[in-house]
Amino acid sequence: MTPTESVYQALVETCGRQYVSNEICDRLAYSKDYSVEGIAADYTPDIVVKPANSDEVVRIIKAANEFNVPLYTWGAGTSMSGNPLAIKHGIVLDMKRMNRIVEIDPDNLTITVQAGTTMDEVYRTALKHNLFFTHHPESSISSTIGGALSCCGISIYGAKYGYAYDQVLGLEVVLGTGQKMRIGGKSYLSVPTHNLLNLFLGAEGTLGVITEATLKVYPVPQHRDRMSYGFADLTTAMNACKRIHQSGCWPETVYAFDRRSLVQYMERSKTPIPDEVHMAVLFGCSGDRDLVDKSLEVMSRCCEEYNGMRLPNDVTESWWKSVNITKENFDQSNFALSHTEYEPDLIDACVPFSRFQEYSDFCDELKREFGWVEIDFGAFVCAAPRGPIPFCIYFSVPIDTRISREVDKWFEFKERMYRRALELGGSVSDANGVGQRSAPWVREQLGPAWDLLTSIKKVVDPNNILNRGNRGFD
Amino acid sequence: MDERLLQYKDWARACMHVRCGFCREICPSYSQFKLDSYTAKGRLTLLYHWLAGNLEPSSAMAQRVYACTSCGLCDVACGYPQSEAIQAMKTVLFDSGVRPPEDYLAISTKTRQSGNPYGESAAKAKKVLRYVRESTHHPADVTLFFGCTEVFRNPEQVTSVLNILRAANVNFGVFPHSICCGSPVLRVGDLEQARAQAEKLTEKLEQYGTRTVAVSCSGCYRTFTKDYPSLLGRNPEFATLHTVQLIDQLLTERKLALRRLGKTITYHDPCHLGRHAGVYDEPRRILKAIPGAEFVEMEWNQKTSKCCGAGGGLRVGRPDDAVQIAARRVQEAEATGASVLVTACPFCVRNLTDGAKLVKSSVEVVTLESLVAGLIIP
Repeated sequence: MTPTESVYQALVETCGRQYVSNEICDRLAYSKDYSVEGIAADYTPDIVVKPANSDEVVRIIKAANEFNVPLYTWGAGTSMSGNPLAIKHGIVLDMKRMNRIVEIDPDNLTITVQAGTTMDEVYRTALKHNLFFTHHPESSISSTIGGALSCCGISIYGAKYGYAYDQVLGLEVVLGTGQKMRIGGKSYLSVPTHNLLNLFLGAEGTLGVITEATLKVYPVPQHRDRMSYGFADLTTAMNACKRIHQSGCWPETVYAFDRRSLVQYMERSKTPIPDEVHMAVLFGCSGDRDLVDKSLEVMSRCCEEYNGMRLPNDVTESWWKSVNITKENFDQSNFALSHTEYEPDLIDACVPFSRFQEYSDFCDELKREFGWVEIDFGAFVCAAPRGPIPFCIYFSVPIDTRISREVDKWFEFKERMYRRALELGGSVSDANGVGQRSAPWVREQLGPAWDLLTSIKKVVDPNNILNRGNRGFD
Repeated sequence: MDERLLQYKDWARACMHVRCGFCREICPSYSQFKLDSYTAKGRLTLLYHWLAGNLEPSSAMAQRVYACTSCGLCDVACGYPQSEAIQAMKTVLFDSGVRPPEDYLAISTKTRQSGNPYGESAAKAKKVLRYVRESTHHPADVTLFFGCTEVFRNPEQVTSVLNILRAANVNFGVFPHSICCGSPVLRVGDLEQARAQAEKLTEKLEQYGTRTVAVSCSGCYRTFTKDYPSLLGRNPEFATLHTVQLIDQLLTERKLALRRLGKTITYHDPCHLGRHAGVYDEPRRILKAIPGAEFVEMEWNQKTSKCCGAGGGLRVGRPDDAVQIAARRVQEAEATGASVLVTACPFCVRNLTDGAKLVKSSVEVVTLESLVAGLIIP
């Protein structure tokens, strides 16, 4: 038997025939994530396996080691960076069957869930217990907790509550050796020594598979309200955000979109945007009504100090509905609104706050050079963590993947963008995953720290089973 | 490549590339079979590779495509008619000889042989319909048409509908023939037989000169209102009402009075009636009008209502799986605290009843018509 056939038999013995497949129809469904990188080569896995619990994950990883077959952990496959792709084929470990809410502890403000639980399920379950789970990306009804903790991603409530990894108190992980362990606990700062949680958060499963997480939840705010303001340019909008921070306001949502991004997000609702708006910011506040009202009043004043223009309520509401995706309004999502002419990808390098405008101008110039000017894809900026000052500027880029030259151009374009970010004193970022997209620049940026990282990987995954060939690893 | 699939080529590529996955967790088929290939996205991915020449149709592909219950909840999430593309895949697979698994095929074989998907005889139908006094009453304001499932599997439903219309003194006739509307064969991809059924039934119904046909089967309702124009190449000469619309009208006009029911009730939207045809309000108005009854919604209701699992031929093709899907819907009803789960489709009521038995639920599953018939004040 080949190693693939042998490991297939072992997986069937572990999970049962129903949850293991080497059928091409099943494998193709796991051959592509949300990234353009995903179509650059054939990443069809040889086997798909869907474990029921962490003990099965242990046995699967041990079998993968025994037969030297690489293993790629898969949440919902919504990644825009190619991080779950089976670069060297082998096994896709689909975690979504592990979707149990293990425990809700209102007294200690925690919820413990299996890694394959969708974020919307965690959000809605918490709400039933009058608790608020705050990590809420646009993909919430589809993407999983394990995926979010492994690949990060933004949240509409991030300005107040922080980033994906800020929500974690404890993890259960299975290392590449098959050893299972629990790190952290239900107390805040269950960190007796070095914070080992950070080895696995944002690591895309390269050091271990997250199988369970204990997460922070909060009392549900009594009231929530929002507004949006238009500004003349990015710098002015960012200055208004700084002024809001200075004022002491602590909004939960701060999303800044340029006009092109805003047009894109109004596509389903068809809400018109005033002509003079070039950069717009959506601000959301939560808490007791008087505090929310006062916060919005103060934030309005701050925006108007920078000649901000209050946008019509229908723009604010359409915007909010297009990013706040729940069971009630998933038909409003921009995230799900695909186009037949292009596929979006993302540049998510971090540059210093003072260089946002410069980087954005560079991106526009580059798009012109590449001939990508006719379509409504632009820049967007988010605040998290923490507070109203944005931390990262992203750029959406539409690629007509029907044309192979356009796909090649994407690889050239992103190289120029990431290199420029480094020149500006910025960084490759795992803010939205690294995977195949920004991995080529990781080693260069880490320098000697890359050796430390590979040494750590050798300890926890000596046979290089986990995500072989991805995220810059060999 | 078949034109019926080529029209979805761009979309299949877009869906294969953009992996939002919003169609996944809500998919009844995925909830049962657990692999991404059993979602709309998975099936569109298969379509992409089929059209690109990377994948030959196979029985494994047919299993995954035919496991779609045609509920259409994916369409709500996606904004694109995924279920329409999947339906086209079923039709082309059927025509190309890559047939569905044997059990699904029985729907087609039996309909071709006997005129109904159950393979029942015309004599059996006559037993149900012949003694109905209104069967000779034509033309009338409303002609009642009873579908195969009511006639052959749930004749009590026929009695309930008759009792309601008689109590309200409606001038109605009953179509005395049992001719399948074509919905079951259509859902498993046998377009040719669906068209044959549609033509045969429309001709007979139009001969009666009726302006309005009333049905209590949501499958028939959707097929008459949504599928007949394309199957026939024209609109039928009659309008179609579902009995919930008729009963709603009768209650509004105070032609029916209902006695008290001290129970908590919830409502399952049949996909064919709700999401496909937009009939959400009438059944709710009826249930809220029952004195003493408390109406509660399930977590997933109206446009996001979850499928009972019987659709798309799954109940016949993979009955155990269909009933397990139904059981989860019954559990959702239980979670509301309701003791009665009402629906408006004979397929849903059968499957949900079996689902309730499977999980030993005490929830009583009834059609809206049988509930109302039992509450009429003479």
